[in-house]
Amino acid sequence: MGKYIRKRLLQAIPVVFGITLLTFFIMKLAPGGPLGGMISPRSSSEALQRAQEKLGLNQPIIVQYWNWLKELVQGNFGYSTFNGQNVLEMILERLPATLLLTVTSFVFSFVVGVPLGVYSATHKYSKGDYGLTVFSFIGISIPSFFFGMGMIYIFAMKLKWFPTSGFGSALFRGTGFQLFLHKLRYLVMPALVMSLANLSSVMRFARSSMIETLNQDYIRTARAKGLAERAVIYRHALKNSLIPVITIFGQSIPNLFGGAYITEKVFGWPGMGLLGVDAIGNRDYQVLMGLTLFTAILVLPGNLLADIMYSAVDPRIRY
Amino acid sequence: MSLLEVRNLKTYFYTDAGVGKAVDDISFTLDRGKTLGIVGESGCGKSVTSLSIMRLVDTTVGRYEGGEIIFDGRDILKLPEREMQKLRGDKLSMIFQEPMTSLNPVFTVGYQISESLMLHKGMDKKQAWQRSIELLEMVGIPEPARRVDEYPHQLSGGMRQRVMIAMALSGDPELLIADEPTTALDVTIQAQILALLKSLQEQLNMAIIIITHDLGVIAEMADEVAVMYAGDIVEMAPTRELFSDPKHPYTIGLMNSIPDIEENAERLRTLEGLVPSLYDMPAGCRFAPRCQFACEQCSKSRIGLTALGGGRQVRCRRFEQ
Ligand SMILES: Nc1ncnc2c1ncn2[C@@H]1O[C@H](COP(=O)(O)OP(=O)(O)OP(=O)(O)O)[C@@H](O)[C@H]1O
Ligand SMILES: [Mg+2]
Repeated sequence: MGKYIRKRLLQAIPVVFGITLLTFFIMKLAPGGPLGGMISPRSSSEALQRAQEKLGLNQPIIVQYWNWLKELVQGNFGYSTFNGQNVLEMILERLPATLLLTVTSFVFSFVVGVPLGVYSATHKYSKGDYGLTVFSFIGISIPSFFFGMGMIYIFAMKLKWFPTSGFGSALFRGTGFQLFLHKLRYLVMPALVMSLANLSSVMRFARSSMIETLNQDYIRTARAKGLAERAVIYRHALKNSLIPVITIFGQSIPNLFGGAYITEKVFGWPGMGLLGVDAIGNRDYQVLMGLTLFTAILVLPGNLLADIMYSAVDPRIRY
Repeated sequence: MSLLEVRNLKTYFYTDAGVGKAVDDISFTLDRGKTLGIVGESGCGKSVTSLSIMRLVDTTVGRYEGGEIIFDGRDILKLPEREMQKLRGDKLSMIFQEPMTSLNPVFTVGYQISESLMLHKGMDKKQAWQRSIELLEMVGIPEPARRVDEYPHQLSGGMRQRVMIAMALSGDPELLIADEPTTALDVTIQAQILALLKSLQEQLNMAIIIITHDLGVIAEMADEVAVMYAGDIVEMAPTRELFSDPKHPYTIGLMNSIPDIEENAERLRTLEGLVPSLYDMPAGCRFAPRCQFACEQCSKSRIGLTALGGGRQVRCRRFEQ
């Protein structure tokens, strides 16, 4: 197992290298260029020249890439072309908020999605099952910004249960548990919105996987032992039916970070997603490159994590 | 009083293709310490009969359309599910036909046997584990103390079948239903298992229903034989009489199709013609389309069982008075 993990981590090195290549050249292909946002028709060509030289933009593209990579390896993600701040610092400052949001919604979508799927499967074709099926189709098909704005309208503006946006008020003076509750109120809506689609697909997946498992011969064996239906479902079937669910566990991690861009923008959540959306508006290429790279590296262990979980649940899988 | 009395059992399946009368009005009795053999071609309803007795028929498509299954004085079809659970795996147990897929892949063999022991025998984990090892040894698994810790995928088909047998025997059943218990096993192991079943039968005064395609196994094990065809019992007789003097044309066909040693076939050589579809049964005798003695009358109306004396029954117009 340890050997396998080490091997997988080593394999990740060329992948990360590939990601740097893609990130860099896609950004270079984007029209406008990093200076697009700083020039006006009145800018002189000397000024432009000077700015280009300062940023190294007049050098051959390969050299530019090489310089960027050299800095990266030393942990330098460069400086924002918009406000000159250290990109890595900007990202790290936003990281906790994003992690809080993604991890919360991720955990929520599995902790709630799996039991609902199991319920659906064990009450196949009942009213509850139909209700959940409709719910999940809605959950998968509603765009998150629409859902988010709807939530804000109803629960923040009309009912005033939750704040409309942000992550805590600057005026709040409470500490400890009070502060926790205060922050929690800000977290509820964006986390719900972000988990909706994932929760829906986890539920559908858990349902079909459970139905298939319940048709297996070994389930009949478990019943023939005299086990109560609850033990048959939660002991014998659940573990088996979770094996395919782990696949979406690995696959949905990248989706969540992607979804963070929209959800964070809608809820003014001070995370990496909001940073990214702002950077797009500002044509802040350094920040965008940094974010892309950083997110990619964050997502990479997802599949490894899924593999480890497979081997924990399924004794037939050994690395 | 007999241990098991099946009276006019009907188990039907309701599918898109129509109503499948998988078991259609069968009756038999079985005493403690005795063995009933059930033979018949694939699809004739042997497994559905056994699953009905365990009350494990998939009720989303299947229904008990009528009849009674009296086990130990109580009608199994009327028992509350809780009571049924107490019987299953304890007084009433079954070895399934599919050894490769009947064990749960994510639990160790020991866990799966122990589970039953803890449930019915009130053992704690440690006692159950110890007993599991003994049971594995009893069914002839080498190195049981090591095997007990393994997962099903680490065992061969024959080993898995023996684990299934160990599990079924863990409750000291009064009735053991063995659905093709030795199909996956090679000949020596097969003989060993059959001998084991017989000796346990004597020790525990256990009744056995043994289902098989292998008439050799029937001859060796059964006191009485039920020959099934398309959901019907077509002939019922003490084993010796059935072999020496088969009455029903289908039974005669089965006897003639016993493979020669040279052919070395595991399954029955099939009789000519096809078993009628479950969803399109002939109105009269179901065997008529394949029967060399069939006449016009045979296809007209259902034929009842005729008692011939000496515990023999046959469902054929030629024996009707
Ligand atoms: N769950 C089910 N749904 C629909 N039809 C079923 C179901 N289970 C069994 N049947 C049908 O009932 C009939 C009898 O099946 P059964 O399994 O009892 O045959 P069998 O005699 O055990 O055959 P084999 O020797 O192949 O094991 C078959 O035609 C089968 O298709
Ligand atoms: Mg069968």
